[in-house]
Amino acid sequence: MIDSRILVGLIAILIAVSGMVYIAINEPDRQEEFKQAFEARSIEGGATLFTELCSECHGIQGQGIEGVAPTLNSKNFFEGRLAEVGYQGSLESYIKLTVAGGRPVKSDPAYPRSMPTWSTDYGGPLRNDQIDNIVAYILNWEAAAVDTGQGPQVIVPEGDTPEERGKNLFEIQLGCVGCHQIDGQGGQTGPELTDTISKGENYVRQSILSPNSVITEGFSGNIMPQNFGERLSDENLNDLIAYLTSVHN
Amino acid sequence: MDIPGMGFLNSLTEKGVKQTLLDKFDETTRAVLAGIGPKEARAILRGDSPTEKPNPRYRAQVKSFILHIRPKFYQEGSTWFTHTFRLGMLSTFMFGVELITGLILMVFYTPAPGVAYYDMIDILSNVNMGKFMRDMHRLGAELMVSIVTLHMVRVYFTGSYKHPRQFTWLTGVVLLLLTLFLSFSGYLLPWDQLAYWAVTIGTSMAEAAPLIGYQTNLILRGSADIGAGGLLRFYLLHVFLLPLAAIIFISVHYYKVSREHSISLPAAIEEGIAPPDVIAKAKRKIDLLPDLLTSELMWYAGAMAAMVIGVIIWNWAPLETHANPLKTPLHTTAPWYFLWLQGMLKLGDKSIWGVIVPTIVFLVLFAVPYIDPGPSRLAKNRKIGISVGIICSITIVLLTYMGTGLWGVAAPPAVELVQEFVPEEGVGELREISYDELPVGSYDTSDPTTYPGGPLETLLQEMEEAAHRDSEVTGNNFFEANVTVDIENWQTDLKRVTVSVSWLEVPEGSTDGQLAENDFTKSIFIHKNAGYELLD
Repeated sequence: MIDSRILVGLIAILIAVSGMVYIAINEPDRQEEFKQAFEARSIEGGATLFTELCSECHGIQGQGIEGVAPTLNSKNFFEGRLAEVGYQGSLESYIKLTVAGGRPVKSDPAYPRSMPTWSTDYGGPLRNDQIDNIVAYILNWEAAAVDTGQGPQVIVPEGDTPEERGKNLFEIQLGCVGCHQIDGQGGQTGPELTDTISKGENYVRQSILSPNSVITEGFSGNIMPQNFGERLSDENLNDLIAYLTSVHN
Repeated sequence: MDIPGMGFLNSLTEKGVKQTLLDKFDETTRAVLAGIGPKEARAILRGDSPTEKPNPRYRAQVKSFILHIRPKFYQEGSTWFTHTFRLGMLSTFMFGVELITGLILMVFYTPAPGVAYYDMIDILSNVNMGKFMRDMHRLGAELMVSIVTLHMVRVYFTGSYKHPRQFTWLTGVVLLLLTLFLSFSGYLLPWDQLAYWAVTIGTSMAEAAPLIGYQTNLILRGSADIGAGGLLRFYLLHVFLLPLAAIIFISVHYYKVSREHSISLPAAIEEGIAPPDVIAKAKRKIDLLPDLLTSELMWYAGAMAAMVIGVIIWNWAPLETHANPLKTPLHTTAPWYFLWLQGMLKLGDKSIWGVIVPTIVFLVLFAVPYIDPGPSRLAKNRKIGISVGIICSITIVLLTYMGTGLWGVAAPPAVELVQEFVPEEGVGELREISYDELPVGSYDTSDPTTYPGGPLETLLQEMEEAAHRDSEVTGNNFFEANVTVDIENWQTDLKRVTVSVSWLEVPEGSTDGQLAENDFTKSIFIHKNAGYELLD
């Protein structure tokens, strides 16, 4: 008659070993699933960071803002950008380098604002894991990237009334709101614009077409893009003025 | 002339091949098993009586290093399950599990911010059985804390700390502290939000200590905040200093038990109150080999099986997002075994309740055998001691409850409301809904015609109920709350979910009681493959 404790012990060992074998058999699938989940969470985290930090210049959907920052959500970016700048590495490392180190040297006259440095390694505010998340998020645009041809997305004013079109230009297509506040909403790099129309339409026109003509006290010149004159039609300008008039009222 | 190997050849010719090999096997076995031959080993495993005279099992206990630590025999009364519940033995077993799994995890871990978290990801996604090791290590730690605590409670209530076991009790309290610190120091190593903030809270308590607080905090953290220095210090504490101290104290503790006073017998037997036949039975000797060894192996195997099953069924070691020193998650709590401390902190001053009182508690705990010098271990002679024990146990449970987020500190109602469904860390009901069951659209919880059906509908209903519930709580400056949920397609396989709460409130500083509108919005992104259940 075998000691019942030995029997119980043997059964327990059998259970423990079978349990471990069961885990071992499922390990490859579990690891694969985990990798995907981690990548997915990385994209989620990147989306939050991008919306918070990058969208101000690159647009809420990465569409880019003319004269401020290039599009990241276009076929051209995923297929042509590396060749354009002559970068030898992968697109992933290109994005990572750019986000981490920024663009300390002015390279493209179309974008007068420099890309800031983001990595803590170079004095920026983000840890490298956060930068990895942002890179994962940007790369996730590839599958459905918009085909905009060579350049960034073309400005086609949207809206039925001049005020609506102007609002669209201000908030989305030109992204003025990234630097200028209206009614407390927007960036603070440039002056507040809710009441700017009271200085006269001509003043506003001049400030858009030739931003350095008058520099408001407390702000510096050469930050606002200088090329709106080439890019905006008269209609665009009128729409913007109509919008600024409407917010003043 | 003696030629090496000649004896073996001679015996081959004399006894034949089979007998010679059997003899050689016997000799080797005896050399390895401290004098126990194969026949005897078999008898031990089968629970048979000794095969040789004098009993070779006692001899083995003198010759073998591992066995010499153990007593030759136990009195039967000290092995009764209801007397000890095997808690001391199981504590040691858990310590062994922690050592083995810990050593394996160490191989894949680097104690540096920026690397540590990725090592966790690597352990979970690249190391075979990595998740199993992590879960076992965590489960073992939780069990070790629980079992060590229960062991102390058992020893207290059976009065086993009394003469001649006072010093053993003292080493036991040291071991309880070491267990707590071992567990706590390991908390930081995954370098996720949970780790970072739980340890930040813990070390900030040290800062509240009078006179030495600032220095202690600095020594623990390595700088004003936990960073590279703090992580390395906690790592070294966790893998080197504390285990070393634990091994030393476990040795001292066990040596006292095994060599000096043995495990206590139930009080009624030790004090001769029980009927003579029970006493005689309780004092019967049970040999370590084979009786207790068999029993111990059975318990170890059983504990192992239970742990493996526990690890298969539940996730023990969650991993939150990367540690972010700039962002304190809402409702950061200490690990559960320190919740009583967190509960005490809510009572008042940090120095008094966070440092001075706990220090006094542990000093009193150390001194229990000296405070209570009454010689009798019988419950009827220890009415005060047992009452104090029960009151203290209840107090600890109450303080633990107070330490949870359920009691005290709360964020504004709207933030709490969103946190309930979309927590900053962890999963929450919204993320539990699968990606495909989050249809794009705008939903107003107060307007059932916008409900989409499926699990999201259930969630919207719950949000509506919660909004009503919170609006009606007296004392909340939070009226007619309304929740809306917007779901947009954002990117390939990525949706943005925006939860907005709007409500009426009496503005700060208002005297006329006029209600004003306010709102709170939180957006999260949900990816198709996020698999929240895998990380939590």
